[in-house]
Amino acid sequence: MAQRIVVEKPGTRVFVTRFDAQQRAQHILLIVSFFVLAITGLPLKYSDWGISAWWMGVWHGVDNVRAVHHYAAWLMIATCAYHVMYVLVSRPFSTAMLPRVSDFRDFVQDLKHTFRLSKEPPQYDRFSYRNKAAYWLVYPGAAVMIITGLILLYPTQATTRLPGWTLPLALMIHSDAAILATGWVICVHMYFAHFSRHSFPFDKSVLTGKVPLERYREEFPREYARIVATEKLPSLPVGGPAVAGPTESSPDEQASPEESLPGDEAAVDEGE
Amino acid sequence: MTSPPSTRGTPRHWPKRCSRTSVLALATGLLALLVLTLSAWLNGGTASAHPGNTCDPEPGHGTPGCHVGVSTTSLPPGQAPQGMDVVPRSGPAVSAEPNAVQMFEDQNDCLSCHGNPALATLLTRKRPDGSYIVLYVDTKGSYNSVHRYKDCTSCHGAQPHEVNTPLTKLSLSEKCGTCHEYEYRQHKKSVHGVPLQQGNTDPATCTDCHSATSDPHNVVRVLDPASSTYPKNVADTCAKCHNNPELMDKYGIVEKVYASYMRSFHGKAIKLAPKNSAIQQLDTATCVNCHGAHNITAVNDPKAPVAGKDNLLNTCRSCHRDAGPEFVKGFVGHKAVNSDFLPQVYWGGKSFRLFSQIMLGGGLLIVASSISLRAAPWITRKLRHRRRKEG
Repeated sequence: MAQRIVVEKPGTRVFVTRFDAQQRAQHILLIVSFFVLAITGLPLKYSDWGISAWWMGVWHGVDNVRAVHHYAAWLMIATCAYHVMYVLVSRPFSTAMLPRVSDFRDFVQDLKHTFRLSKEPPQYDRFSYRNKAAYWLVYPGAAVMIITGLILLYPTQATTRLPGWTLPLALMIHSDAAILATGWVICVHMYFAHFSRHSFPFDKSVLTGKVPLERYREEFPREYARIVATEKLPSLPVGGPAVAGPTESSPDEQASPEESLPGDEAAVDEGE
Repeated sequence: MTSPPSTRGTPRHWPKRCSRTSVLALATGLLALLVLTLSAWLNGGTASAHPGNTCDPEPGHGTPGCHVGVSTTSLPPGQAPQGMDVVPRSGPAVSAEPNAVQMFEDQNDCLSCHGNPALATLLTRKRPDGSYIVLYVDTKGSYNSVHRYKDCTSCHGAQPHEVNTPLTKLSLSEKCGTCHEYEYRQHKKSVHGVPLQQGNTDPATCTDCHSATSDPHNVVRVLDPASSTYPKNVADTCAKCHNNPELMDKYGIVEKVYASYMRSFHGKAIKLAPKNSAIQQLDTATCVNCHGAHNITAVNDPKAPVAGKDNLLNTCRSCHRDAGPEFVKGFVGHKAVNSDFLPQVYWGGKSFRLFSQIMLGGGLLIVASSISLRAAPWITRKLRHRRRKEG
């Protein structure tokens, strides 16, 4: 990624590019396919609920729901393949998502900070340990869902190569893993993606690809420092709307990035 | 009119000017329509339900006015034909719908007595065992009976009042079999038919499956969407007996066949099909597709289509054309997996369930701790900040 700092309407707001167009497309495709799979799959699991029968009526029958479930499954498979190809092909080969020792340190620091044992919040680089966990959990999750789903989609062909007991086992795992994935996305992923003091109530950075510079300094201070060191910050009036960001801040927080070094802001905000 | 007064009379709002007249016209039209509908309903409502009806039944008389030229015994109310001991029976009030008889082939005018709802509580006969034969034929409930154009005497004989042995559950299939020979022969050899001939009244006879109310007068065409044999209703029809714990205990059927069918994909596809599904939308196995219908056999009968892996494979292949032997080995059927039956599925499923519960529980714990330790204090701090700023 060449130039990370982008200025929208010169003199107004400064952003840091966090996701490129392909990454955004991949996440949107994943959202769409996941959502469609959930709303067409869960009524089958909970078939005795009244709302399931109603929902099947809306789709004019269980056959249509199954067809849509299969289309969405192929879309998700294609999205996963697209992402893997993208990672392998794109140059320079990105290692930002690989887990490191610092992630474990960040995790311990985050625990300490949460339990008020330390006033210092963890200083994240390009991706926090949470981002990495969310990313890497998708691989086993998608693998389990895709493999069991394909067994259920082609039961007779699957049992020409696999033992027969894989069929009922695939059904049980597919259904339990669906509940796990849906519950995880709704409760854990939504909470940590959106219910953050940086972006509450909705973090649209994965759709727009951009994060305000001000927020980037708070959320990813280590990468922020690296970006600022390599790229020239656009000259903007000190304390102007560009750096202060859209959130309401007390006057002492409206400092230019040069004055408040990475981490200071967060420490002020959190360490009351 | 709810238009604000400021817009009144301005030429730009010309539709408002004529809207008052149009509303008046509309209201008049609606009122006229309402009056017309009401009068039509009051005048024609009852008449249009029975077109061509000119003779009403005489009130208080047993025989309605419509005769087809056959002399029937006209009886005062409460008196039965000879040879019948009439037992007054209290039943639900039946609405008088005497002319419904016209929907049925009734050459001997039997329904003038047996179809008269006014006599529903009277036309009852006591069997030697103390049960009652209801001699009233509910024509309204049998409006779609497949045999409504068969004359009563086709089944009840030329001298229906002279019979020594009335039709019972045991003799019924023989009667049906006079026309439906093939089905009768199959049923006679089936797990339902054999005990029936030995005098056991528990198993299903023709009408138990072919009529929702086990009423021979209410046998409905097999693929009538309202029939108890329509694919969407088959499982519920079988469940009348096979989901009855006492009856199943009596015959040692331990599997919860109805519940396990409804948990299977076959059952879910049937259950979730829309109420008015066409037959093409119901191409999913119901009970009879695997177990047979008239020729139904016990599952432990070696000839049963579900007995043994070979028979089962042939049965599965009737829909899953390219199924192989492993496909059948993994079939759970109505049983539940346990440490002996498909142990891989039992332990695999159990461990994955435990794993996903731990994962989801851990995730929820992290979120809960974050909410209580981070989000909640942050929100209160923000609120306090704001209050201080305002105050």
